[in-house]
Amino acid sequence: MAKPLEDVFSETLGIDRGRVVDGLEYNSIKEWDSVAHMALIAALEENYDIMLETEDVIDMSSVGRAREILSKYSVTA
Amino acid sequence: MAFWSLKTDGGAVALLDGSGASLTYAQLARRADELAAQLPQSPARTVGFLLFPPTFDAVSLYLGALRSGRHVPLLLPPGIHPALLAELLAKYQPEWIVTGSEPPAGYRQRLQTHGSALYVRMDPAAGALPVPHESLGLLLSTSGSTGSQKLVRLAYTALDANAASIVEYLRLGEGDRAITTLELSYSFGMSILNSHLAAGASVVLTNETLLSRGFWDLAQKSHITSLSGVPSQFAMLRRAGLEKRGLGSLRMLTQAGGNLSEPLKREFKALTDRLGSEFFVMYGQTEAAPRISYVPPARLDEKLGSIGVAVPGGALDLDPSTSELIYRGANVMLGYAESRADLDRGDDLAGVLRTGDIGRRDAEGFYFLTGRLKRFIKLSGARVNLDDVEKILVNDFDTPLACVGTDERLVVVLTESSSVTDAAIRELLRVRCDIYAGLVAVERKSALPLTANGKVDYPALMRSLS
Repeated sequence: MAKPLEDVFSETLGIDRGRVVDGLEYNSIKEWDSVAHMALIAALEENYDIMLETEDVIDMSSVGRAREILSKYSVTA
Repeated sequence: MAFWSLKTDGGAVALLDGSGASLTYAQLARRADELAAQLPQSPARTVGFLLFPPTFDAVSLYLGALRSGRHVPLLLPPGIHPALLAELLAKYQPEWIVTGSEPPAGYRQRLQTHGSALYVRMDPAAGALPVPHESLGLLLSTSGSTGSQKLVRLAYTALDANAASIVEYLRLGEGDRAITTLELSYSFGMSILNSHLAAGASVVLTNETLLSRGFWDLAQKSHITSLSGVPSQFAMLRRAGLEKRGLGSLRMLTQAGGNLSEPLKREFKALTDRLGSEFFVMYGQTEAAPRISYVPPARLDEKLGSIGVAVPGGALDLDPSTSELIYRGANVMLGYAESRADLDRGDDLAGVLRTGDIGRRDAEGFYFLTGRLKRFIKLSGARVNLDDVEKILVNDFDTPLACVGTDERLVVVLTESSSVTDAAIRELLRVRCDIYAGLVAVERKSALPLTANGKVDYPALMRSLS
């Protein structure tokens, strides 16, 4: 059973769940830098049991974009 | 000719940014001198802090300070932790600071530049402070954490020599174009800027990262010829699908900042072969401004685990008794500084750098690293002194613990009886040492293994973890 998207973000970035909103953007907070982004990609893939395309990896620029991208993989995020 | 002389044909482009703007060499030289003229005009040489974002003005100010021959900047990341900055300010009492954040107390604004401002110290007792030595051109930090602030003192001649030798072995020319992938305050990032300017080439300045669409669009549009990274960024290049990014002009990849795993080396060597470009695996230390050695790309397949041969103008050797790797060259630092008073010291090392790495040399003269004399690791290219980190944690938590690790991960070992949580350890490391929680593992043992004289037995501890 996959965890909610917010939980994956909050656990991987080490930020409060309340801060995980669609408008939160990559590279806009210290906790979501490129090293954390790599960990996030891996955590999302594990959580939903998918392999993200490279195009999607570099398009995942916000929580909202992540939600849109994941919907293409037929997962509920 | 030193790179800061900017003597290339004035009409050639030196810097570009994400907005499509560019600066020619002539414009860059003019802006550099204009900004340097705003620095304190005291008769004595000055020290300044440059929190260094990838912008035209910050690069101009950096070059302006070098061109003036009178102002010595310490390069710092724009996102430096306030506690660390406060510690450095107290220790070095700079005459000026360039920052995008609030100025420290006792400084007033002299100039507003793009995204940053220049502040100068109001204290009239400035003249009483030790004056930087005339050969000192630049200061760099060796660590991102508090409590271990040793600065590296680099001479003008060292910066010039290293930029020139990088131009030579990478065969950089006016047609080359790099893009920022590293902090400009980090010696590797700085050296990419320096060497490209020395070659009359150009550099694209951006805050975008290897994992964003914006970065790749800019890289493609700007026809970059080289990409550089530390090991963690090569994992990103793989995830971003470098081969699909349409960089037809890419001539080389360069890697430094710690050991890249052999599978990734093989993968990127094969990729550059397919693209008709070259892959340079390199080794260096901030103490050498920073480049020490490189593997000629044609030899990489057969010398996969090697740090290569000395850069042009330098020489490598091994200490006969300890096998410590010793580097000699004009790019070796003058020495360390631990206080303002140290800045007027001259050349303590006479061009000889004991690297702290243990090595061996093969029959063809290629060097290999086999260990380290001191306990430090490189996480995402940043040096982490395990003893310093351990001290910070012990001071804060007052519990027995030990830090060990590899270039991939910092491992904090606690005893099972300790009540300190994993989350508390990670949080402190993030806040005090700027170490990302995902690079930290916390382990618990019934007791820490000790040596005969009661010290933590780190080799035994490492063995017990693997």
